[in-house]
Amino acid sequence: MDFNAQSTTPIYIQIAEWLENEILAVRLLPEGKVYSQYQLAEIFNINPATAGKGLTILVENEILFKKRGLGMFVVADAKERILATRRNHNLTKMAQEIVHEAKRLAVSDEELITLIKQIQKEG
Amino acid sequence: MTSLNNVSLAQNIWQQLLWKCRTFSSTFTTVLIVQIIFSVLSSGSGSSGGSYGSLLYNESIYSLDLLFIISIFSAIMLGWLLATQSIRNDNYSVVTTNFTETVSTLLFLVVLSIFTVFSALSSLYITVFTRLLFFDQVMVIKSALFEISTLFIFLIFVLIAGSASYFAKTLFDISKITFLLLTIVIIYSMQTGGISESTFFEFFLVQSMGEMLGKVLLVLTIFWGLTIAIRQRREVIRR
Amino acid sequence: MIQCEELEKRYGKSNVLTNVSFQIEEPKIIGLIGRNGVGKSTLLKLVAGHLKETGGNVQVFGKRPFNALHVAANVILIEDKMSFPPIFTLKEILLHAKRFYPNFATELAFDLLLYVGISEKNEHMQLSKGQTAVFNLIYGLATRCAVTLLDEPMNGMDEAVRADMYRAILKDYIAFPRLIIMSSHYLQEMEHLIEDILLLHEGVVELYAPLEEVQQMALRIVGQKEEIEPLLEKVHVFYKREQSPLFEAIIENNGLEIPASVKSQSLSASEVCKYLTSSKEGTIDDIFK
Repeated sequence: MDFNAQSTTPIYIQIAEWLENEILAVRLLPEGKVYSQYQLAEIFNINPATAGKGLTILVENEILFKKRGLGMFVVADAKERILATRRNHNLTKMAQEIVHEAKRLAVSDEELITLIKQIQKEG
Repeated sequence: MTSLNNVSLAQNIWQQLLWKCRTFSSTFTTVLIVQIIFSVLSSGSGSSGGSYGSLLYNESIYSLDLLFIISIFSAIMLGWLLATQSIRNDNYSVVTTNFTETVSTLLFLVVLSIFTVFSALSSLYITVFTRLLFFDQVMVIKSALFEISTLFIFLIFVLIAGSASYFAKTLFDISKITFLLLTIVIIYSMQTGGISESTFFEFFLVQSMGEMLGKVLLVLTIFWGLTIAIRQRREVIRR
Repeated sequence: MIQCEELEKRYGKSNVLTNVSFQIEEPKIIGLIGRNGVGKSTLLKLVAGHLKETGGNVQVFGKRPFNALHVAANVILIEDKMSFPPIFTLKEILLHAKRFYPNFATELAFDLLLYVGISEKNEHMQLSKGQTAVFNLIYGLATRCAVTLLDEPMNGMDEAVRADMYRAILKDYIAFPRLIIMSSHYLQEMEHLIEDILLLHEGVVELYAPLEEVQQMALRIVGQKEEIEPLLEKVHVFYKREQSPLFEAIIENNGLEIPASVKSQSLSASEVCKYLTSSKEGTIDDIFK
């Protein structure tokens, strides 16, 4: 199982990421039922409360929704939402790296922006 | 959530009593075997020979005396043993409290005492039977040796001995000094003639059955009450 | 289910627990953590009613546990020193248990024994240290008591059995939720299994919090001395070490902005607990100066 108790990423975040990957891989279908916290606990050998927290994050991010008494389900456009968030997140991260590298190389802000604009023109 | 267990005091004591009868089942066989051995070996406490015409006979007088002493002795041993720490610790692997542990042990002493009396009785008959079988001696039981009142007194002394010993070990465990002082006082008063075994018997063996019963109950209440009171406060120490 | 208020336990003159307060209201798995001799076992024994508190108070199901039948019937304490009547085989122990614990999972207990390869014909005294621990744990799980206290349950077991037993605890907990408090000094091993951490230190509850919160409590930062030192003035520092050319520190995670050039990393719960209970200032390195 691609999950690591010793990792510094909290377990419940790893669970949320795993579920997102399952949605991206279409192993969990839009409008389909998701594993319960107890099933997740057994699959990953973790405390059910921890698994529950992983599900809660996805509910908060509107990837999953609760049906009373029936459990958790995948929202219809979950895949798009996940992709959008990840795109955003990855892009921000890369931009951060660019800015830091620019600082290290003593490239001024103006120079950096010019550089980006130039690349956009060429692309 | 798992449902809560509701156990009444009486239920718990009863379960522990059954459990003790099982865990100490070897004490029953030990008591029986010891009594048989002693009664076979001793072949009666007194005998006289004689002849009746051409018939030689050997008259053996069997009494409960020896078996009585053996029984008292084993009750003292077992009472002491039942109060030991390791037995108490074993008891704490099942549902128990100081109170139910002590009360069920006292009840077990009652069961054990009753058993002791009956096994004393049966070991006499076994002796008679063995002698008939192996030594070809016909035994005639001349009179009723075992009246109900005799057996009852037998039972009571065995029970008091066991309870006293259980109490003594309990006292010994909380304060060796108190135990030692008490022992010295008892020995001293026996030495100086104040108390002897006979005072003990005289105290109980009175004409009126009611009075005797009252005295027995009083003595048992004191021993049991003190034992429960002392054990009630003990913590569980597993080493 | 369990309330402790300013709970104190003295043995003669030595004070083991000085002021322990916490409350547990629902079934969950809790890791009871602390350094050697901090009083983990003592706390469990107080909750189980085996010991009498010397101050403050402790309540289990609304009752004082010492000598209380209702508490005895619903709390099981498993420790390596527990003993059973020597006349019983393991089989008999398990069969008799049902009389005292109505929920006793006899079948599960026998299946687990078979699985770990311990013969039910053995006597408890004959078992090896590891086997004793396995049997005691199986017994404890099978009682299905609403409060299950496990004092160092994995001591002496080999690694494969430990993993299996952790899984057994989890499975039976999911099937029959109950309060399980498990003490150990190997937090790392059971980090995945527990919901909350109860950390004892110097006679008091140092920390009682969900595992995830504990994991976010501290950061390890590594970088140049000039970058790290100004940061240290703003937060509580658990530990710092200069190993030229790098400077490493463990700091409280209070949302402080960390420059990107400084490598930062959150700690595992067991590391956090280690630093929370480390002895004052200084480390083993100071001894070798």
